[in-house]
Amino acid sequence: MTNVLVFLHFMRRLYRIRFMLKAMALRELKATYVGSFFGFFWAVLNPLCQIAIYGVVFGLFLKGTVPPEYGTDNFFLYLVTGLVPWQFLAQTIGTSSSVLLVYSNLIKRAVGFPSEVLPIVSVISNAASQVVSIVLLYAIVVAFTHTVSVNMLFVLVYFLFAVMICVGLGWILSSLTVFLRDIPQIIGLVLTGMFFFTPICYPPSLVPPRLLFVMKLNPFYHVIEGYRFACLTGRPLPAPEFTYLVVSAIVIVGLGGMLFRKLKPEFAEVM
Amino acid sequence: MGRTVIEVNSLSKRFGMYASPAGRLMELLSPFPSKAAKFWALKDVSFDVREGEALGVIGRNGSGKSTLLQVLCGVLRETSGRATVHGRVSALLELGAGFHPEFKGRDNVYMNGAIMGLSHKEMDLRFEAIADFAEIGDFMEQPMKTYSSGMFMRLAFACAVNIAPDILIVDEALAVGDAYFQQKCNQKIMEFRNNGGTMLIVSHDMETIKRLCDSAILLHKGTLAEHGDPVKVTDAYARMNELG
Repeated sequence: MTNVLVFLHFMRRLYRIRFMLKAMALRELKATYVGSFFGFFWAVLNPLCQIAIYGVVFGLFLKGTVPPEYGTDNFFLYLVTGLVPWQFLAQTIGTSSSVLLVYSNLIKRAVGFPSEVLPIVSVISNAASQVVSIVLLYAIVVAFTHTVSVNMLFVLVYFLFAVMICVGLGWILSSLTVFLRDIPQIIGLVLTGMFFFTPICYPPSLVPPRLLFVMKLNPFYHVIEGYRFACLTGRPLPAPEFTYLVVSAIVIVGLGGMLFRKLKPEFAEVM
Repeated sequence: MGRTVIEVNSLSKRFGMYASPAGRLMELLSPFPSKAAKFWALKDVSFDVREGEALGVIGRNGSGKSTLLQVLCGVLRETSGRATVHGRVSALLELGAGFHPEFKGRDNVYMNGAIMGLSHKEMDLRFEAIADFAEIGDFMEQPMKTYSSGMFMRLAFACAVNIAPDILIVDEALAVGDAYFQQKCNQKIMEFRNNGGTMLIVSHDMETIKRLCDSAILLHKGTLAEHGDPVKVTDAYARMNELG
């Protein structure tokens, strides 16, 4: 019960400082591109280039076959629909885990600064890039399939859960990073591992069933499958998988919030 | 004198001393009582500040002045007791904390406002005053990495005093810029004071305390050694220093 109250209080506060969130997220975005020649164009260029690289390697050289349930035989499409959500998840976790260190100035000095918004700022700025990527994804899917379907909008539902998971993980990883500076290093490794142990550039049918069960414990798996189903078949995720995604997102946000609250008073002392 | 704006009630702050940050994390998450060595930076400190009052805070190095200010600013959390602050606080402690060197002065001013809880519109109203006060001219449109350290501090100070705080916390090290700008700062602080603003001043200069403050507190080893009239408190401080 108190947790619910804390959550409601937090949401109200978040609403009150929404312009601060906006200003900070915008600055994060700008800081990525400030001084670069192409500027914001990188937000389009970067995912496109990555898609091209993976497309050539996995779509052309290693040419996989798409299982029939995805409603397409174009492996490139299968690949892109998995890569786009992955890029968001990987980038957000990478940046949000060290966000408290980046802004340590504010935590140590700024009067009453709410450090819990920093991981959220990082999620928002990455989410803005993801929105651009989703538009690209739609364009690619429509260009290849020549069909437009309203069901493609379901991508946004899975995106929402991806955002929730990222906020929760952002709270967990960023607050632990204050005490354990090894975490960003570990995250780099874990993300590389996770990229290959999630069916992004190969179909799940290639994975032994017992291992697939373990893979499915990773909520990212269902976000990626959700994107794919929405774009390629127009169907939603099966109910058990969808439920698992929703529950795990809520649990991660809840745990993250609790851990962050517990560790927050010590940040200024450690940094 | 109006209502009480700062209430400090038997405030204590204890720092744990850990071998490593990882050790601190383990203790934080462990359900057992902590075994780390403890250091009390503040012990059972109580005082009130009323609206429009200027309170001087004096004490030797390590007496707990900075810790007190950090708790009042909400940077550190109290171990026990309570510190309640009503109103917007602006602290002239560590200026320019939110500034990003790659961005223009103007962008940083608005960002600073956002961090202090002011919307873009509210900052529009204040921007002119900040620019006038900082006197950095066209540099307002340049990235802050091109600023001299004096310009940087001037803009930071201008931001801190012009966001219209209810409570101003001033650390004595107000060596911002040249004599001219220092005078301007002092003038601004006096103006804030005369307009009924509440102030907390930390200083080693007893004359400043006697001149600016309505009352003062003397901290010694984390405890409140003296509280009251600035003359009485500064005398107590002088006696303490004589005895060694």
